[in-house]
Amino acid sequence: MTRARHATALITSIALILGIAAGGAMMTSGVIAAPSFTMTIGDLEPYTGDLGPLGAPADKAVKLATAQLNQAAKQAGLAVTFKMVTADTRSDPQAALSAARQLIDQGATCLTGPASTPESLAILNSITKARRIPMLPSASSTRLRTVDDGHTIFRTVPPDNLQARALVLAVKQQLGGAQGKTVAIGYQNSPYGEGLANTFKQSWTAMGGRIQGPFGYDPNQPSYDTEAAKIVAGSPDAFVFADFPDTFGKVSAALLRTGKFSAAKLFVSDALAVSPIPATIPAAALNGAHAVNAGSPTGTPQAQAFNTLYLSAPGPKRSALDANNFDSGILCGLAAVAAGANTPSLIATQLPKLSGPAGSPFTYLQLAAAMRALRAGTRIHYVGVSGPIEFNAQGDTSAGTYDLSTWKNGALVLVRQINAKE
Amino acid sequence: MPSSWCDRSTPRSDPRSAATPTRRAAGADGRPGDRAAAVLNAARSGTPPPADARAAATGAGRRWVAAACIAALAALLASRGAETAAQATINGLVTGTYFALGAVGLSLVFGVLRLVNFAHGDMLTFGAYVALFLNAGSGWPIVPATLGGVLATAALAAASELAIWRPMRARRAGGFQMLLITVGLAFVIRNCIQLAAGADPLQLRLDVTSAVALPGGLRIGTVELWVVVAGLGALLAVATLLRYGRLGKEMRALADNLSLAEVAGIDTRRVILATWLFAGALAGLAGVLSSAAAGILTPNFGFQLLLSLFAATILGGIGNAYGALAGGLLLGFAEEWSALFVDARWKLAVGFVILILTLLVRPNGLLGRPALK
Repeated sequence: MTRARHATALITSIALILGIAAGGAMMTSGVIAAPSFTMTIGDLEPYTGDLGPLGAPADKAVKLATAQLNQAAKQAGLAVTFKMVTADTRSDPQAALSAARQLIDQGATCLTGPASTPESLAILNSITKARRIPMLPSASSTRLRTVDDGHTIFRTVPPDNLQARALVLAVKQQLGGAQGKTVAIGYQNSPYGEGLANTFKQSWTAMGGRIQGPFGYDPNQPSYDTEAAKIVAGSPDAFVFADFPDTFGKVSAALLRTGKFSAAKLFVSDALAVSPIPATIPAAALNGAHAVNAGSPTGTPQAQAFNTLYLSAPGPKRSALDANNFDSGILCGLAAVAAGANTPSLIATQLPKLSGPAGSPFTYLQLAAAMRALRAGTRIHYVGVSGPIEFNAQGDTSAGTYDLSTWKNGALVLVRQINAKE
Repeated sequence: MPSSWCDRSTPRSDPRSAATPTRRAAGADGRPGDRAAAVLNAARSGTPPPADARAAATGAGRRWVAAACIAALAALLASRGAETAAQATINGLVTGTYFALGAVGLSLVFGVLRLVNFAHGDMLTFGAYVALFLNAGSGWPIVPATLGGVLATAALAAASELAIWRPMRARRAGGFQMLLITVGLAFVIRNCIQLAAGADPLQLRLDVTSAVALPGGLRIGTVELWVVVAGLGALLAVATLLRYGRLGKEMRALADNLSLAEVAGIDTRRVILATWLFAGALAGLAGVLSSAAAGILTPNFGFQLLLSLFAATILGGIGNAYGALAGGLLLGFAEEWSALFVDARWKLAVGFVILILTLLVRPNGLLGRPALK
């Protein structure tokens, strides 16, 4: 018995010494043991419902990101593979929660999407916060930052205080100044619509402009004629709408029926920046109108390469927030590589470390090199297609580039870019 | 127009059940049996039933409604000006028309069968989707497509009577079981529509952006104008039929006392089936008209309207078809007028506040008669 105990103690000691030695060798060479795992990215998109037009383009972007990650992992010699699972949130918080459960049951450890704040809050409160599963929604409402997310929510989409600022700058330039100019605001009664409307109102009035409204309306109202009459009353200099496509389809028909509405005076937020104009929105309401949405710096190599990549792949054409969703997918993958494991809490811990000027800059065109650097323990700074990712303490990107586009013959055409931080 | 063709305000057990004892038919003491006997006599003779003591209360209800509407209009004119007030009234008329159509069907079913039909909203959706399929899918013009939607919904309602409600009554199912079945049926209809047509919003082939200019700078959408014309025409036809038609009188007799009506030789099965056909047709028409006015159709739209339809039914006097008509129109006006004073986000809530206030003053609704003591 005593001999057996001695033998066990000897073997344990040898194993410990060998382990410490191996660890020391790895530390001195700067290489961490290569992990081997398959990471599942869960993509929550609104393929149907009010935000339906945004679902397919976002899904395509995350699919492209997954393909890029797999290709880069192979080039970097990592035994890591990425797969993507997707589910329809139906633009509805309850359906989104059910979709999130479905994806997590399928092994998703990092979620891209959903597209709206109510959906994000439902998922956060019921699942992701407790289980420390990171989520990168394309919802932009500032309301999402009024809750304790346990450092699980990261956004590649700039928050709406910046979008409201971009809208203000766009309207101001169109009207040749804000002083004395009246803008009528209409918004859907949701955290997104209300937040944008109120922030716009504050900024516009601070510049000396006047506000008519803001006029909120419920998406389930049977009619919008009285609201439309109030919005066009007195012929304001511009109209600003923060709404989703389905509801705006009904509201815009009512606006056109007043006979006092002109699309040339209309500015809309990113949820309506859809191209081509959906059949549910009268074309006369949007042709000639302007839209603001989070944009990508067009001149960068990664933005140009992404444009080619996106357009050469089958599926929908470019749409609002596709670059942001692509970046979300890439960030999920890079964080898993940095964590060296397919563990949600470790991925959530690594996500903020991929941002900020402290690290070496890498774009998605250098993904393999970025992965090698991460495995070597080097801190990187992911410079996304949508701009450099610089998460603040709350997990929001501080990029402020917006596209100002206009509809011509039913399609969105870029007019110019706006830096909301100007 | 009778004061109340099938008033449900008198408490009773469940006369639709075979287990319910037959009420006394004779006597002149104002008991429900007398009302039933009077309606029966009227049905046989073809003359309108005599007014009873409670009619006076209904008359007071009408005066109350008229006074409230006039006061609201006066306040509106004084504070917002004639053009704004008139435009909001036109908008309210559009909304009120399809509220009324939907509410009358709901009230008919409750009046005759004492059934709170939670599937009624989804019957609206069904009618609208059939019309959509015929109009946008098969290229039919809107009028025949609307008729197709109306007939299909009437057929669906009749099928539900034959397949569900009649067998359930034969099994003496209680009111709560029946109510739960209506909730289940609502989900079945909605999910079938979603399965067949998808969840994406769809549109009838109509120009919802054009409008007709009226005197005084007022406007009404072209489609909305047709909605009002068709809706009010249908409501007038239904009111006439209920008032003067033999079927309307038979419905009233059933509503007052089913067992007595049966004893008197009325074919209650036929009348109940006809009630479902009517309610279904009205629901189908309300569905097509409301989706045409709104411009967009989703599988949830009827369910979203259901609460307003219930509100209109209760506001008018539950089980009273004329009350439902008045309640629907009043709710439409109230919602649009309120948008001129309060944030439009509260428009839907305003309708329910008015409902609560009305019930506080008149617990039986605007045209409902008080129960006998």
